[in-house]
Amino acid sequence: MKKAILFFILFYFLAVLQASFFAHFSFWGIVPNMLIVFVVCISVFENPDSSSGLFAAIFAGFFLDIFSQKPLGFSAAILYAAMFFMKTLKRTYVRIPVS
Amino acid sequence: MILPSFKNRFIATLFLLAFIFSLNIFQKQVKGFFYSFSRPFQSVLWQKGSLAAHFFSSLFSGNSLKEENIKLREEKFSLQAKMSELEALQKEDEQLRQAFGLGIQKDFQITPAYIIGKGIGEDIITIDKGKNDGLQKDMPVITSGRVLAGKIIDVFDNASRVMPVWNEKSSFDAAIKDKQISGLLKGKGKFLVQLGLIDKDKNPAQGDMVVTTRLGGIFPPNLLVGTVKDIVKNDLVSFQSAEVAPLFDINASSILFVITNWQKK
Repeated sequence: MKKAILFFILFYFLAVLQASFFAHFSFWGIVPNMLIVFVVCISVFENPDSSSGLFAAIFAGFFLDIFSQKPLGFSAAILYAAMFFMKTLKRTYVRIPVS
Repeated sequence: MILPSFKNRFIATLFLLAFIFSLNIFQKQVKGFFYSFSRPFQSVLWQKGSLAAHFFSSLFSGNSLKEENIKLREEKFSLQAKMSELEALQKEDEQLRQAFGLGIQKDFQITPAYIIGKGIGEDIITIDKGKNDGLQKDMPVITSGRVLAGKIIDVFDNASRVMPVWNEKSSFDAAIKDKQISGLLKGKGKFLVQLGLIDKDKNPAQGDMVVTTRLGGIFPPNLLVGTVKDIVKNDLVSFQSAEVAPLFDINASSILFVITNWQKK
């Protein structure tokens, strides 16, 4: 629960930064999306049994939709599906060596 | 609330997603709330971002600065000659403006607004005025130099979203000033605009000024849009088109003006 609230606040401020600060920094016409970068990093580095990545995907998608014209839930659903797929791959195929 | 197993937490996230979808019933209110809450942060961050971007671009553009310097020196001499002619005209113009009170405040009823953000992953600008300030959908937005920035497409209580002229959904009638050449101006995304449907027997040229027209009634006439950059002619197509460089620069203009007494006809 605490993690969920933390992610909510984190991704809210990331979305505000993305819309207002990072919007000035484009590379060959493209502005890197920091919310998606954070969600992928959380998903890659978290414990395979943890669900942090799924919460992160939902909140990041929610705020992406808030600060864009898309309907609410659109980006959240896409990111959720992508992170769920990544998590399934990790649980099934990735083995971390334990000494 | 304890959800020990992964399966339970997965179900919880699905419920959360369903709840977010249900918020679409109150989409405008939810988005309006976040825009109102974020407005103070966004206005500060937009200004800081602009300063930081200028600082970094000057750090990484050493070679191009040198070439630009040489080019600007050459341009300076020709401009100095033109300046002396214009100074005389300017004095007369200022006196006329004072006498007749000409200015955008006289031509239009305007509300100033600051840019506070840009849509994430889209060509949309957010400004800090909304319904509470008398703004409505489809109101034109310009800069102080009568340059067309775009039009309002979404209005919340304390913020609005503006579709700039280069947005892919932007399309309106325009003409090349002083040449009786009209066409349809369409946005191509990423700060690119094209003036299409130009008759093949017309002769647009590089540097020509493109302005809005009365046709279509979307914008007031004679607002500056951009300058012709390139002409595109194709024998297989019945019309020619021109690539236009928009005059509105989102990084250079932090304050915009919304024309509140112009309604789409």
